Amino acid sequence: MKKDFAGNILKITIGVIFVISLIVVIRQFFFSTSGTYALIYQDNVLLHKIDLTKTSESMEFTIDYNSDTVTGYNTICVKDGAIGIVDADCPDKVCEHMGMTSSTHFPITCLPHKLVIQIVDDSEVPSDSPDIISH
Amino acid sequence: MKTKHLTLLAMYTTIALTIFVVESALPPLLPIPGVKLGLANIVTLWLLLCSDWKDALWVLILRIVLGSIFAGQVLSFAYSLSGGLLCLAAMAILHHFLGKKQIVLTSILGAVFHNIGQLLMAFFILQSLSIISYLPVLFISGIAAGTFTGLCAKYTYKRMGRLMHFKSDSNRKNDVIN
Repeated sequence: MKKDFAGNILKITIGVIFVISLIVVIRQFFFSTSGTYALIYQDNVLLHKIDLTKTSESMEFTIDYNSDTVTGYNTICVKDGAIGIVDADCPDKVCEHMGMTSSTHFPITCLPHKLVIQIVDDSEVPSDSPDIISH
Repeated sequence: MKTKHLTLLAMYTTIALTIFVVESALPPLLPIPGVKLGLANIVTLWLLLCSDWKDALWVLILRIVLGSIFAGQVLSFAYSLSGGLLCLAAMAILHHFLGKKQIVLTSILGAVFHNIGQLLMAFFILQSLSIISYLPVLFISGIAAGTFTGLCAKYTYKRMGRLMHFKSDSNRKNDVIN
C-alpha cells in the first residue's frame, strides 16, 4: 500500500514536470522572440559580438579551439539576421544540426569545443565587448 | 561461484558496451546536446532487477570508461560519468523503496536525473547559465527515453528474469513482475 502511494505521488510529479516542460518547449520553439545581437563565447570568454540586423549578405568565419586535449574548429555563418554553425570537426556534430537561429530562447552550443552562441536583445548586450563584426 | 559472478558481470559489460557504441554511431535524434535514447541503461536496470546496485555500479563504470575509449573523446567521459552516476544513484534509491513492480517509474526518474547530471556537468565546464534553457527539452526526452528503456527492461525481466538471478536466491519468491 505504502509503495503504491509513493509510486502514485511520483507519477503525478512526473506528469506535472512533463506538462510544464511541454508548455515551456512549445513557447521556446513557436513563440520565440528574435534577438538582435549574437554573443559568441568560448571557455566563458566573449570572443565576438555580432549585430545580426546589420548583416545584409551572408558572412562566414572560423573559430579555432585549442586546449590541452582537444583541437578543432567551428565555422560560423551569419545570414539574414540568423546565426548558426555550418561546419565543425567535433565528433557529434550536434552544433551543426542545430541549424540557423535567431531565437533568444535557445542558445547554440558545441560542448566539445566549449562554444556557446547566445542571442540577446539590445538591452542585454554587455558594454565591454571586445569587437563588433558587421558588414 | 565467484568466477561465475565475475564472468556474468563481464558479459553484461560487453552487452552494455555494444549497445552504447552502436547507439553513439546513430545520428542524433534531436539537435540538442544530451538528447538520446540511452539504451545502455537497460543493462543497468536489468542488473538492479537481477542483482544489486553494486554490480550495476561496476558495469556502469566499466562501460563508461571503455565506451569513452571506443566511441568518444575525453570530454564525453565527464558527461557520461556525471549523468550515469546520478542516474544510478537515483534509480538505486527508488528501486529500494518502490520495488520491482515500479521499474518503469524508476527508469523514468533515472533518465531525468541522468540528463540533470549531464546538464550540471555542462554548466560546470562551460560556466554559462544559458544552457539552462535546454532543461525542459531534456526533461521531456528523459521521460520519453526512460519510459522506453524501462519497458524494455520490464518485459525482458518478465520473460527471462527468473533464469538470470545470479546474486542470491533470497529474493526469488518476490520477483514476479506485472
